[in-house]
Amino acid sequence: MSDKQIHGKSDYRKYDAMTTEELEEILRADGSCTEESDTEALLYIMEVLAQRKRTSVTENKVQEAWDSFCEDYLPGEETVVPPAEKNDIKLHRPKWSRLVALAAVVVLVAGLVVTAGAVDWTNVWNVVAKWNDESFEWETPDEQEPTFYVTEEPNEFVQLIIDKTGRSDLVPTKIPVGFQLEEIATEQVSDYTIYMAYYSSADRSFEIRVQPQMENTALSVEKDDGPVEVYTRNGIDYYLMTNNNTQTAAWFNNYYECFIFGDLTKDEMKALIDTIP
Amino acid sequence: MTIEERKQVEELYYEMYEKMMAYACANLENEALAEEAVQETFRIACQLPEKLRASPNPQGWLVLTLRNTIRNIKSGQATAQRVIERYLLQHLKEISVSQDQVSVNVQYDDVADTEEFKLLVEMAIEGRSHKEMAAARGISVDACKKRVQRAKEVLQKKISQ
Repeated sequence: MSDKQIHGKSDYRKYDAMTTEELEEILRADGSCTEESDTEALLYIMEVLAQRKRTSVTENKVQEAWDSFCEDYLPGEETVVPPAEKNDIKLHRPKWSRLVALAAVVVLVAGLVVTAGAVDWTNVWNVVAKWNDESFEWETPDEQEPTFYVTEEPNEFVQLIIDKTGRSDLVPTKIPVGFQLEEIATEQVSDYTIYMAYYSSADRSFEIRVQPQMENTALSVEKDDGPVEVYTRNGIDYYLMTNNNTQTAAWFNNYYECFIFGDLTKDEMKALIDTIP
Repeated sequence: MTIEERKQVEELYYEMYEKMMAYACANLENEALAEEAVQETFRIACQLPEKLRASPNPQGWLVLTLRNTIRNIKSGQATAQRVIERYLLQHLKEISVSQDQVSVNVQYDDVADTEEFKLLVEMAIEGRSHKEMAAARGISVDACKKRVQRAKEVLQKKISQ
């Protein structure tokens, strides 16, 4: 490691002389800071630490971790392996093969949607692939309920916001099919009241939050390093961003800061925003 | 995800796993949670293969994503702790905490004895990973995550009542 140059730019050999505790402290400091990281230095330190801990046992652990990753963190269900790919798939990693096949099916579905013409959110998923271990078929609109559109059901949260703020232009008036209002909560911060609504379906959830602009408190939204998209609707800029695998929308509307975050796709998020008067 | 993208992720996994574990262990001080952070990071990479592929420095991208993932884990624990604290303050009659081990002896009421409460305590106070909790219950990691999310919601609801 001592003779190693990182991309020929910097000499990180000083880290070789540091103790494990000192190096770990640097990594901890990076984990809690908000500034841009020197990833090359971090990678060097991580390599030093990994080398110090590396044994034949830890090498086996990488293999075990990979197997666990395929088994526990990428569960692929209900898919078929295209015959042409079967020979390329290692038997002890079956979940990957399912994932690849699923991706191919998704691309196929997307292609059908695109070639079908303009996107209508009430109809996007009307043509759906259905399969089991032995057969594959398309389901037509007559056989399948659409999986996403916004419900016409009355929304208690909308009414609460109108009652408490006198505003009807802050939150979505409809919610996606399959979701239901789980809870409405309020939180008092000094003289300000924050209103929150939690919605969930069988396997997803999202939250809507409305809070007055607070003095001396800057708006802060947790996000990953993905881009921020500005979606303008009725003169309001909605900032769409991701935080790992969840979507966040943040916007400001005349004294109120509003958020939606949770297990939604960007298109679902936009559809929700579209229902804000 | 294409075959090429899958291959790239697999190669990066074998190259980066131990290094990322070093980062995650330093920040979480819990090997099971550290492993979960690394696995989650690669799961995100699989969900966003185009970002990984487009990055001029995929290893650096993974480190930054790992940092965000660790923050989310800490944030999730902190939220769960707040829910538990608020719930305990509101509902439980007697709490005793021993010096060397967090043990909550309570006169249980209807929620404290539920699966939801136990899940949150395991996650937020005992620092167990979803994988550990899932294994103990014979369910998938994904199902365990949903139960934890559901548990937070159930307790939140109880608190607000």
